[in-house]
Amino acid sequence: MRSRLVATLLVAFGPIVIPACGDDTTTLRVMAASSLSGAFADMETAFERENPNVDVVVITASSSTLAGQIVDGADVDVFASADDTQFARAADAVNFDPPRVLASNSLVIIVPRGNPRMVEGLDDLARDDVLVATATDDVPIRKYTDRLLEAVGVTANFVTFEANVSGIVTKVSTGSADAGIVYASDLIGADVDAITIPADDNLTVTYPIAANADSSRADLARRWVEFTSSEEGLAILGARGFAAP
Amino acid sequence: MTRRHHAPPRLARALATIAVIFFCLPFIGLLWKTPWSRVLDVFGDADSRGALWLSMRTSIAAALLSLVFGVPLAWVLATTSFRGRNLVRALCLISMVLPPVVGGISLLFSLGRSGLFGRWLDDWFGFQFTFSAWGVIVAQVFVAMPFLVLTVESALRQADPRFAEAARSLGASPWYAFRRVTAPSIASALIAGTVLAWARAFGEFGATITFAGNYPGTTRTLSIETYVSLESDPGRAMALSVMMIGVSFVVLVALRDRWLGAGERR
Repeated sequence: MRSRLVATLLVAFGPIVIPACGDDTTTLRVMAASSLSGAFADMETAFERENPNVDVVVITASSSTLAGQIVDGADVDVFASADDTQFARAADAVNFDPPRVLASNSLVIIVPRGNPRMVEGLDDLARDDVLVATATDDVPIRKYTDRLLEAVGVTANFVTFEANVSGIVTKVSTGSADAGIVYASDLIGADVDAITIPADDNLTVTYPIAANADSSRADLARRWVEFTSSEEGLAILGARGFAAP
Repeated sequence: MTRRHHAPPRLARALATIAVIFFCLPFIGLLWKTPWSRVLDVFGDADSRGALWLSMRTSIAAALLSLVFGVPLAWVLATTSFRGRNLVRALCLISMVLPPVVGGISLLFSLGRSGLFGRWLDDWFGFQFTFSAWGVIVAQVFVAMPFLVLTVESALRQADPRFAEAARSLGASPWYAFRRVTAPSIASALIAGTVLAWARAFGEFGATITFAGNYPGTTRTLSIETYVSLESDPGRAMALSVMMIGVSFVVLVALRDRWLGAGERR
């Protein structure tokens, strides 16, 4: 009876506990800001096609969440952050190569399809009848939003502080909020209309990326970093709404 | 009524001990890391008190709404049989096993401002649940009521129907018989169900942030406040976690012996 119980437990949990043996696939762990998720998913496909023995795992979340995980000891080979502060925070804990600029991005106002509140520019974000969604203090998009609004002297009518950019897009695309500020690259595939922010008021956001020099897979990690700035990598970034670095 | 059980075999007791340790370890780890010198400051600051007050108000409202609608629902499910009853029950209980964020998305697309039904609220009254405390309550009721329905329904099924029938045959109205005969006989299940629903509502996070949003004072409940703090100030998040554990623990312990353990008399 008891041996049958043990056997059942082994069958149930064995595959989870015992790692796969005799498998020469290398896993590369790439952590990237949520705004990069589409571009990095495309790159993962292309990179794995060229390197059949590599399994790239792309982990996306807000840069602040990822930096926190890296500080807490998460296994990371490559980190691409949406701002320098969060990259620096991670680099304090892990020996990353000197970062290079992956891509740049700009900011844009998004509104629900048809723009029901007729938002035309940054000034409208201060209107009482325009509900504006943004993110919590630590998320890079919020810092850029605050910097942008401060420069033009607008106090936005914020009604919610979402956990990441996709939270902002969801609140706007579902018509719950009337406007939000997100990255230009977030427009790809989002069910929203965009209002351009004039270049004079806009910000250029750059994404630092670097390989973890102490990783046992550092060489492979550097190849991924190089791949992101290859012709193919840049084409993918361009198709996903990013500008060249 | 007391029935003596044989002591479980040693293997069962060993596994049970492992389970107990498994439940204790996270709390020990949290309490160990909590910056105790800051706890009182964190409990006293305006943001935490605002979030606690909001969580208390919304979770109690959610528990009461669950009681008002959940008990009749359990009553119907337990005592009537109609075509598709199992389907209705499954629909009413599914939010219990659903990832809360999925519940939040569903609420957003149905009761949100441009949702299938929510748009009427906006057209007629200029009202939307999202970004208001009412949205928090709706999200909490959605995930919490099933706990009450399940508890009360199973108690009603086990209750002896003859007492209520006797009351009815003596001329009591159905409501009167339920209130004076059936309800007292399942009092412990009613209280346990309400407390479980309250506890689930108090801890609600995923459906709330997805459907209602996150704004101090109106939608940022204590669990969202804790989550938000985790990135900027982990010590504060730990202190808030201790606050939530304390509140939940006190409530469960206070009710445990009297109500949740009904039937177990030593």
